Amino acid sequence: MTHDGVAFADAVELQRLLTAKTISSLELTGLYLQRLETYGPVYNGVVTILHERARREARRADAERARGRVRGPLHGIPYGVKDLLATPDAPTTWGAQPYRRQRFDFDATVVKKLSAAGAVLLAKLAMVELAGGFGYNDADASFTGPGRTPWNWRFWSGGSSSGSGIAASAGLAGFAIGSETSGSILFPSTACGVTGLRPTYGRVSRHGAMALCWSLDKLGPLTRSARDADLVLRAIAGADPLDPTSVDAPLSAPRRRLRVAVLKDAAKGAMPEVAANFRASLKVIGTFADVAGEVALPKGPWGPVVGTIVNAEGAAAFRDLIESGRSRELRNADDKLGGYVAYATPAVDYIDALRQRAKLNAALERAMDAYDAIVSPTLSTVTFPVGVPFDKAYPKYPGGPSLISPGNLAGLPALALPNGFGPNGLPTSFSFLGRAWGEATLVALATRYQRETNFHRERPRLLTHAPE
Amino acid sequence: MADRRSFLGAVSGVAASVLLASPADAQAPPPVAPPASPHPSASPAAKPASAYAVAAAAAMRRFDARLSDADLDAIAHGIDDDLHEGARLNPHRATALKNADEPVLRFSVERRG
Repeated sequence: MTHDGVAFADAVELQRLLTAKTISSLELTGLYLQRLETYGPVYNGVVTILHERARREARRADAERARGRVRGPLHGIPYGVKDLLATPDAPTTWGAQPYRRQRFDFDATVVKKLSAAGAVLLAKLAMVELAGGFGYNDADASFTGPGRTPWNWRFWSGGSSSGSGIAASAGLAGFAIGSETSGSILFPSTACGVTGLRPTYGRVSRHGAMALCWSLDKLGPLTRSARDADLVLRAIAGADPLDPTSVDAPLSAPRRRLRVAVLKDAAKGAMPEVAANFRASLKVIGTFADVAGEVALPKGPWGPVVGTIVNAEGAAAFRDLIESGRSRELRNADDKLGGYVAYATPAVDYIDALRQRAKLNAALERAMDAYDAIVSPTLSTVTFPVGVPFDKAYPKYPGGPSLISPGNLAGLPALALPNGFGPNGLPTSFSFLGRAWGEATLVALATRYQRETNFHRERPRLLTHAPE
Repeated sequence: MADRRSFLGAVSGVAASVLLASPADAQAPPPVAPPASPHPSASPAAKPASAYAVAAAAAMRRFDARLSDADLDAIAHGIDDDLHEGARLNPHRATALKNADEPVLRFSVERRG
């Protein structure tokens, strides 16, 4: 297998190579470290490369394997984390200039769990500053510069888990960890053509993760296949006394033909390629699941409710930053002032948003009751050009209803996976929204889809230097 | 003018224009509303901010005395946009809140079975 072949293999395949002793974890780590050095800066995907820690953990993994101890399917597999997860080896910057020198003296629970699973931490990956909570409207919103998708350097990698999408897509790590408050795993998964799994709220401990919005934040994997997303989720899931919202819950899919509904008007107003690829995906899904008609998203102020909650909780989470006047150090022009706007959110609006949340979530649960998942295009367009305000990028394609706000508001799991390409060689994707704690069902659906298609195996042609 | 709060609702990491336009979101709604931006360059022709928003924005100078008049104007417009969104939280339709509707003060996802 070529170096590229190894770098782009999924974690399941990498484990086969490690088991067969075709490659050692130290060699694999060296390969990814080199790729992070080469490609990371070109695509603005990396904050800190952890050479010493990575080699130490890789040597440990190899030594254990030599003694016959293999901790599990991620043993010896190198990975990266969004730079909002605490580690003691390097600053944890939250993507933001005011926190560039911030240090913690412990590993976040997710990092601890992956370490216990034998995985090798390579790098802290780039992200949109403060996970986007202050309202940025263009890609240049991180002190590392705009994340660029490996599929086309002139376009955004998506956010806020920008570097996590880049690392999985460009073969800079075996897999990556990202976070989602409202779209931050699903968007970069789409923009970078990888598989992204947003777990149920409470499935994964957030101890050691930056808080943007306590009642919406989730951590999850960005990977090169759905089967990898499953492996990573199983390694990081579970109750943690340090995060009282985290719980133990089974991860199992029903052993029967699954029943999927299509979100009504899902492809309405979408870019033609997005709509065509979605229709083609439905045909494939229909070969292994019952596509049982359409379901309409319950009516309600989904966007204002999520926005109000993010505003109020985000302003509280970053109250120190706002009150210090240091928001002006943020990179994005909108972010510099957005915190002040959020700070002025009336308490009554926040409470009303929480009151609506109960009603809306109940309505969504009822709508999903007869189905294992709802499927829709993840986004109505391909990703945006760097340097163009988001709202000016594709005004012709407003899109139909989106499941991103409703799914996040209800804390439901979702899985995004690539399903083709659109303009400028950019990936498109669709998503399954699942019922609470139904991640294994989503993985089962996505794994079947990826067995029937090859979109997740497509590789971008990478640049070694930024174009002039 | 679009609402910054909808934008934030969609974004905490995601681009607005693709996500804002959820008909289900919208009791009154712009399918393709550009997200309001507190950036000074945004909406130069916008109508003047409300007196409430202007006062609230001015109060932010206590955190950063270097906020310019243009900054304060942008913040004030952002606050107005959010107030507009606040009105959408309790529409006089099927999802209107009733007196006894309680808030979700500690969010969790129910486990069944």
